[in-house]
Amino acid sequence: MKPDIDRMMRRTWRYWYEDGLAEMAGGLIFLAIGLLFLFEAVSSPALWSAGLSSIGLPVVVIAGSWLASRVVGRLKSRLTYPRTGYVRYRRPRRRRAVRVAVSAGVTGALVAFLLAMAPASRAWIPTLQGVLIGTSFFYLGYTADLTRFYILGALSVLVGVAASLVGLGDVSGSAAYFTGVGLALVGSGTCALRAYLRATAPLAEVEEHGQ
Amino acid sequence: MGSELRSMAGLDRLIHEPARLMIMAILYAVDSADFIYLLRETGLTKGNLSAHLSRLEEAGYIRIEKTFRGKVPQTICSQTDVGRRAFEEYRARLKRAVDALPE
Repeated sequence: MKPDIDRMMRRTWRYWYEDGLAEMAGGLIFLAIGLLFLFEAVSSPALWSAGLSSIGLPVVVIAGSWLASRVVGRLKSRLTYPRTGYVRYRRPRRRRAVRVAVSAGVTGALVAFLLAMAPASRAWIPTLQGVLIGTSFFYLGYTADLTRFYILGALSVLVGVAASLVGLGDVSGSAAYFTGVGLALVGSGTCALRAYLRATAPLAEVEEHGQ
Repeated sequence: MGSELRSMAGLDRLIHEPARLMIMAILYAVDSADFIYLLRETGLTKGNLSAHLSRLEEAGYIRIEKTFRGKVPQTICSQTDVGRRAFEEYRARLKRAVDALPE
């Protein structure tokens, strides 16, 4: 029995997603973003609706992520850790964090530049969102070795392209995209949680190792 | 090729044992993990895992902290700096030796 060292190390990342809780929290954030865009699409006074997404979006993403990390942490300590154990992950190295921030900044700047040069391309924003977010799902599927993230990645691209092709425009298209992918995330997370709860039971440490 | 293969003789035998290698690989990837997680991931029995953890702790490769989660006892294990360096050295030596093997 010679263990595959790299696989063992990758499995630790998969563990975070096994119970589906993080996915459900991500889905709820997507739904909140979808609602924000929907509100912007239906509210008529363009005066304040224009500022809604520019101010509201960062607020929803930052506050949602902060809240989600706390709620997921609490739920994991009640549901997951007693069943399959506790893991505390290493903080990403500074170099990696800088690399991610720079790539996100460059992508954002490129998109803004393209939109400024060709305003008609705004209709393709949902497709762009679908491809960018779908790529991150594919990456997650690879690093965590989880097939359902590849499916979510493909779904993200499909929903984005469909929202653009239907001709909803950038705001309504984004609302449809985030709502659709948010529902898919919540659904997939719920299925993963149900399967996890069925397959596992709380386990206690025993005296055997000196407790 | 000879010197690379001979380097296998210098492999850390404490880490080379499959069960301890699994424990070290898991703890290398995370900040810390508890006894239940290690039990599930390694597939060892409680007594067996406990014995291997004690050996790694004696060697200074891991740190074991006993706490409580509410009223439930919890054993948290993490790798020490010495353990991380030993595991990195082990991997590098093993890789050199495996790479030197003929196809």
